[in-house]
Amino acid sequence: MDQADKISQRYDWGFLGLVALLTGIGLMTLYSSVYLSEISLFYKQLSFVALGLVIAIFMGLLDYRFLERLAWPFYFLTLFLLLMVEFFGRSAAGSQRWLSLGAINLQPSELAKLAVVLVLAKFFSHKSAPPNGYGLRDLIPVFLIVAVPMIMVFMQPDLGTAMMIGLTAASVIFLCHLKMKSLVILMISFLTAAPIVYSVVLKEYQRDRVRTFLDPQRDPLGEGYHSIQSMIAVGSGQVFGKGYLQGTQSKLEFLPKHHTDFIFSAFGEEWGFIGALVVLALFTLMVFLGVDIARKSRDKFGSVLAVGCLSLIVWHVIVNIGMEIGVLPVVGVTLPFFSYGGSNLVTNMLAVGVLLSVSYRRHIF
Amino acid sequence: MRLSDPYNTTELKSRAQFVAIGFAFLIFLLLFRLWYLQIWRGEEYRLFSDRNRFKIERISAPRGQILDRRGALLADNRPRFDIHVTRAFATNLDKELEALKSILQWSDEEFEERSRLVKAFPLYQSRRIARDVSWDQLAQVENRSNELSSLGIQVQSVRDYLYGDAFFHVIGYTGEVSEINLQRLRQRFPDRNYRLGDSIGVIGAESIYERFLRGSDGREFVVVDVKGRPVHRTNLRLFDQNTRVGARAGNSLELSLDLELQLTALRAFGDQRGAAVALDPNTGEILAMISRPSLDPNLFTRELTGRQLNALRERPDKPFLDRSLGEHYPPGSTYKMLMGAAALEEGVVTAEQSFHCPGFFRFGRRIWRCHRRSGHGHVDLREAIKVSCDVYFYNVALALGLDRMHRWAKQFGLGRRTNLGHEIFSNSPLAQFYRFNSEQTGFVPNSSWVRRSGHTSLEGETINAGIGQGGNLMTVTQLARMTAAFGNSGQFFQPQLVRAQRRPGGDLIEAYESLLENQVQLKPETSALILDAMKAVVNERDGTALGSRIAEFSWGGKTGTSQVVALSLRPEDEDEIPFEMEHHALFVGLAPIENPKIAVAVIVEHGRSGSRAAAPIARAMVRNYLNRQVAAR
Repeated sequence: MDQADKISQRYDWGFLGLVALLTGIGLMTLYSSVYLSEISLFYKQLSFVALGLVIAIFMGLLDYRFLERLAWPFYFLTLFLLLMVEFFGRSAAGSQRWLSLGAINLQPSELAKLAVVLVLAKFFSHKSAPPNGYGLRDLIPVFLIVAVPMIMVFMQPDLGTAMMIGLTAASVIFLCHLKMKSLVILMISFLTAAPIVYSVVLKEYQRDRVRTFLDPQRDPLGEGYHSIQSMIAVGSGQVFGKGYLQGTQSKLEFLPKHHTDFIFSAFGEEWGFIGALVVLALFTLMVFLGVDIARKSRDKFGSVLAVGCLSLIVWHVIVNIGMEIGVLPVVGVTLPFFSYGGSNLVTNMLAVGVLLSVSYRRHIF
Repeated sequence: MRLSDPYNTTELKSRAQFVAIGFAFLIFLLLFRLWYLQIWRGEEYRLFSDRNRFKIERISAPRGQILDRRGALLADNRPRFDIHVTRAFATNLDKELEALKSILQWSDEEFEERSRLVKAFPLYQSRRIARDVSWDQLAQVENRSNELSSLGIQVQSVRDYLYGDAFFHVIGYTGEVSEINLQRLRQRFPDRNYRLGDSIGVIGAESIYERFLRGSDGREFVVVDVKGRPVHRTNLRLFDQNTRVGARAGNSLELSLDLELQLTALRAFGDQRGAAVALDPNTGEILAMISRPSLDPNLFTRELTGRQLNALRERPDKPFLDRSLGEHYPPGSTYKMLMGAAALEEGVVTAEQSFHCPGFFRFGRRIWRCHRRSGHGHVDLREAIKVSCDVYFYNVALALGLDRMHRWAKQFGLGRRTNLGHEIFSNSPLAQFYRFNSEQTGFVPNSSWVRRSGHTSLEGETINAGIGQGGNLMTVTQLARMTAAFGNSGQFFQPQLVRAQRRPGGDLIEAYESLLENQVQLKPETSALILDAMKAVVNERDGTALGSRIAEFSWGGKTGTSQVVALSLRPEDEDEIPFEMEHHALFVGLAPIENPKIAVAVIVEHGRSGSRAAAPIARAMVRNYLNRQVAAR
């Protein structure tokens, strides 16, 4: 068997195919969302997707273990970039998220998600869990690793991304065996902290969103508008949808951000419950394939890394769709492989690449 | 803690399964919610989306009013009715457009163009098709609203300028925010929420005080049906409540302008070109500011095609140019007051010293003429200003030297912008980006400029500059400010246009006080002599502006005539000189001379003679203003 055959046999074509399929559906939906108003965004996204797939495939061929050495440098670089954003960042819609590097606009908060996953994977792979699980004291360094970038992202302010970092980290910690007692303590402290965070830490507009989430009709002109419009769009799709390019609610004036945060409502309107079912099934398949990759990994680093990258993607899916169908507050989280935007697409493709790499290496050592 | 085996993954495997199950469960919950929205309640939502669309309607906010110093309204607002078309709401678009054509009496080509624009627009977006329709036309559209379902009427608050073209440059006009400007405006003023089609001040006070005058728009949540008709009851609690947020008008501004004075100046100007500025020497307040020709600012809120606008822009007499600030001229003999004061202060001449004027002045091999060919004989300073003797000032200029002249001119604010309107910036660095109507700096030559430019000799330039020619360029506002300082023993006030800013209800927000910006050191004798000479110009035999004497008041001034092209380039015969080559006529004046209350500067482009063209305008302004002051007392 020659080299090329070996590669092609061991490469995880199934997972890659699944990602390509989702990306294809995403592009199709984006086209429908923007073809009337800003078709140029579609072409831009097309080039982002091409770039993203190349990154994922290439990343899949590398040995992910080099990432272990890169974990800390990458983590600190990200912290540095986050600091830079604070001082030199470009702001959009009231928050500082972007860093201009010549022609490229970088969103360091996207990198922060990956950095946290990498460092946590390295941390847990070098330490075996105590027989009855990690206690709170064992986890202090973990909390620090997660909290620093999370707070910096939160200050931008970008509640959505901060939440994503937290949820992903929580999944990884859960994977690595927590003491039952610690789990309960964490839950209780979260519940007591929530109201304090709400009243002290959150900005007024964020508090507004939470209040609106609890009662969307409170401010139908402002924050509730998105939520209600989005629910009408999805709901009016009924079982079979209105048909491709036939959506009316999501076109132009009714639904804001219909090509970024609210793209799933556009999809749900045109493809109905059947379409939504298919997309959710594909994401569920991704969960199982991803977990399978983690289980088959030969080392702990790869295993934790795979689960981290997978949960990064899946949490985005859950929170984004949840907010579009009115079960979660509108926090500005994008839908992987669907939403318009280069930075988050590249981040997701990097995560896919890591999963592919872990999958590929299981045959080698 | 024992070291772990990094290759022992067994303990992770079972927990990874939990992660998968957890995620799958959450996704299942989403699916359940989707089932609820799309199937259980799907029909309800579908009906709603088919029958009703809801949108946020903007309620246009009026701009702040603009008043004169006595509270007379100069710029108000009126509602303007525009007709919009939304293609998606049409039953038969072509028929509806045809109907509109007959109501608004469009020509065929106009109709073609508008239909083309409408059809190129997205289905669900409304586009304005007609601006400022009359009440009568509006009634016709309303009457047929059942068949004209694609048409909607929008009310927009727009400016109403009560005095037509009288305040075109100083108050300015409003235009609409265009697509080209929108991006830039949004970036620069994110808090002002500019939208396409919003009114925005383009020149003058409307532009520089935009921040005060602009109101904030209100909004209302409207549910409309498929045909764009508002739906009043939707049976959904959230849409049936009152969601209106009212519009808030902008702040009103009380300007220092005097309506009657401005109108008097306009009448006196007739259809001549030029500018006039009147200042209160004791405060720096601008009492009148005129630039001719001008346009009716109301034009820009009505229907105005790009072609019409271009025609206005390309008019050879440049109606958009503000000749009081945005254009500079050689000051001509109005400069002589300044030269006289400088010469006395520097001690190069005494009040009694006289020079002989034979009608020409020889320096080296060149000859400079006096405007009076036969000469003035022996003249001292007072006489020289009175008769405007050029030869006297050639001598003075050479004695002073160009650099000393430069220093004095700068001290009197010549060649330096007045920065009108800057009081609102209160030292913010932002101020440097704003120039009221592209205010010109002007120019005063000095020796290093002569050396650099190289096309005149230092002495030649000095002699020319002595009578306000050569490289000298000043705006009319600068001349008014200089004259005001003479009437106020050298005190310089920042020219000021706005006196107070008030809330729409009338509560005072801020009153703008006069600002002393400089004090020129002048001996009282110097001041007295210059003022006396100015008085002689208007009141004494041989004074150059004797014709503009006012019986009831003592006032003074100085005429000026500035060359537009070199004399050698003009035809010999006076009757053959084309209009564009005629001299500009200038006049600066102060009244009453003992206790000045008003300083004026007037330029009449190609008016030939300061005494005949410019002085009567200044006279009319001064008379009108002082008469009313007396009457008020």
